[in-house]
Amino acid sequence: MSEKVTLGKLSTGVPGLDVLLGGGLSEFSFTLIAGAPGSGKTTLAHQIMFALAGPERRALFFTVLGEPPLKMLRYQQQFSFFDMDKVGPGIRYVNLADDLRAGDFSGVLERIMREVEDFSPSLVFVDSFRSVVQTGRSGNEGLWDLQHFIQELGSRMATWQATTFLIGEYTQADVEANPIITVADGMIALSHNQEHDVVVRKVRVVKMRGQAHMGGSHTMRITGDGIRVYPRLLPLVKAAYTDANGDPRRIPTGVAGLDQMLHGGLPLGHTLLVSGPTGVGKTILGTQFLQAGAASGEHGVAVYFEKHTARLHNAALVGMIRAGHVTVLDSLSLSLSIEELMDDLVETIEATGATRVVIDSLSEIGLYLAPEFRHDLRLTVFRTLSVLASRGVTVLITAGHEQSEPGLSFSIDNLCFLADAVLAMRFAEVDGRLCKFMTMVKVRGVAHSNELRGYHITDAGLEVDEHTAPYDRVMSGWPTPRVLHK
Amino acid sequence: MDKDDYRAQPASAGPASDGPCPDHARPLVRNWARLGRQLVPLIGENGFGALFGRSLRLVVPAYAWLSMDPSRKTSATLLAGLEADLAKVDADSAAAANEELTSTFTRQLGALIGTGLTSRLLAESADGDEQQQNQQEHK
Repeated sequence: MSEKVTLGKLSTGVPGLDVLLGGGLSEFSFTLIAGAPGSGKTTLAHQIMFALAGPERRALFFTVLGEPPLKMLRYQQQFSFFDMDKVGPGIRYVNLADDLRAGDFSGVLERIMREVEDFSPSLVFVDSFRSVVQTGRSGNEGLWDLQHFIQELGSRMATWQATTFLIGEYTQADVEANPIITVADGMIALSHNQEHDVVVRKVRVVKMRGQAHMGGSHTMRITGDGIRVYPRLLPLVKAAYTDANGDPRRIPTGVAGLDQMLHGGLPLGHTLLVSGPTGVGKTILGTQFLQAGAASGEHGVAVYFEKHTARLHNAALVGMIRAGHVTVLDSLSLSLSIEELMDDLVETIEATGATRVVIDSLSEIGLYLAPEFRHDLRLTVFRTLSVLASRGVTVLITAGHEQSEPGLSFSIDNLCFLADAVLAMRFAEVDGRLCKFMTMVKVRGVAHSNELRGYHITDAGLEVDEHTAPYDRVMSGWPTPRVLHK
Repeated sequence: MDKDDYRAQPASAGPASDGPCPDHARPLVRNWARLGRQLVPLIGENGFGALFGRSLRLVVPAYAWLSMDPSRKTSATLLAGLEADLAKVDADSAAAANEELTSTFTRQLGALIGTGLTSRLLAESADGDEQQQNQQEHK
């Protein structure tokens, strides 16, 4: 049996943060929560405190010269994690402002110790620690005082078996933060990155002694439920590489001719990318896909980035929404993060039990995304589709694609490589008319037709011709009648 | 609600004709001291002083004999001033003014941090006081 000390891990209660920390916070550790004003430091501290505190694990929250305590209590109450029942028996707030006036660190330390001895907390928070530091002497003497103070505080809190958090407006570049960073066991840095007019919140675990934490900056959001961290990880796919399924269940697409080309329908759980120029019927196909689900009692979720869908009052879609078969996510934000989109999708899928998802379209999604997600549209789509794949839902995504250079190109940014199946829809000039054709470019894991078939948009939706189109060079946009060789 | 709706209604209280009577003032101020012990560690002397001063200002139009002295900064000097004022009037007037001041203070605190948290903090302060009293009785 190993005689090494085992570090107890505390779950922070902040979704996603434990993953970054390498499994949670080490018990009795001394962590600096650093970041600019408004970056969410006090909220993070409160969320951790309310998740962990209780009668058996009490918490002391020292407020100093930063946010006035009355205001802090006023605003922190707005978060759902603020459990009033814990204030008093489990959580005590103490204001150190009067003790700091003298500018004497030892007086502050003694006051902290008196409160710790009186309340016996397992968790201690000091907010904001920078205001403690700023009351000290200037120059080297001040730095020495600070270092001594931090070391004393760290060792005394560890002796009292209290997990301690210092909250301060620091960046790593701050000279005065160095002694704190050196002594601290862990440092969690919060920031808000601005690009153009859009701000995306980030969190980074700079250090965490004794455990392998995840490096790098990760996106976080603050909602009414507090902070949520999104580690840059893909979701696990159940039974990946263990279960083989050579004959997956097929589900109807809502277009009989297309099901025929798919040899019975789209494999369950597949992502179908529908690629084609404007007006070719992609949105109609998406609606028919949802209708086919609704007809067999399935629920669908639709995310529309094309505003004409809302404006044109698609009767079939409205009927499904009214009947409760389809939920529409209609983003109005023009600084959308991929995490926000995924949260909304996953929450709606979980709430409704949806098995079909339509995203229309990837060509317009960039208009809604914050710049950092727009710059790497492929990664954004990859992450979204990975989350949907891990949920086992069947997905139809559309991608507008200008037909200015006819040929075998199926999407912008090579998005077609991310889909399990690709349906190409094209215009071609035939006998003085602009006619429509479709072909299944790929369907992973199963056989499918490779025919090019003509189709029409009628009041009933897409109607696919029963036979292969009698033309060659359809994909070029300039087809020629096929000559049958006898 | 208007922020000045806490202002007390005019009352016909006035200085007692038979002079100061400190005995009735002390128990009234003892409640304030208990409240101060609970709140000062939480919101600081400044926070307590600001809330108390604001409450006093709202109550003074109805009880003109209550004094406001900007030089009183700490909870101790504020409560000493209150005790002196309450001692100058008859017991009923003192109790009425004190009740108005207490409820104004509580409402103000409630408007800032919510009635739930205010009730919790005040109840805790009452419990703490009771415990202290029991401990003294057992000595």
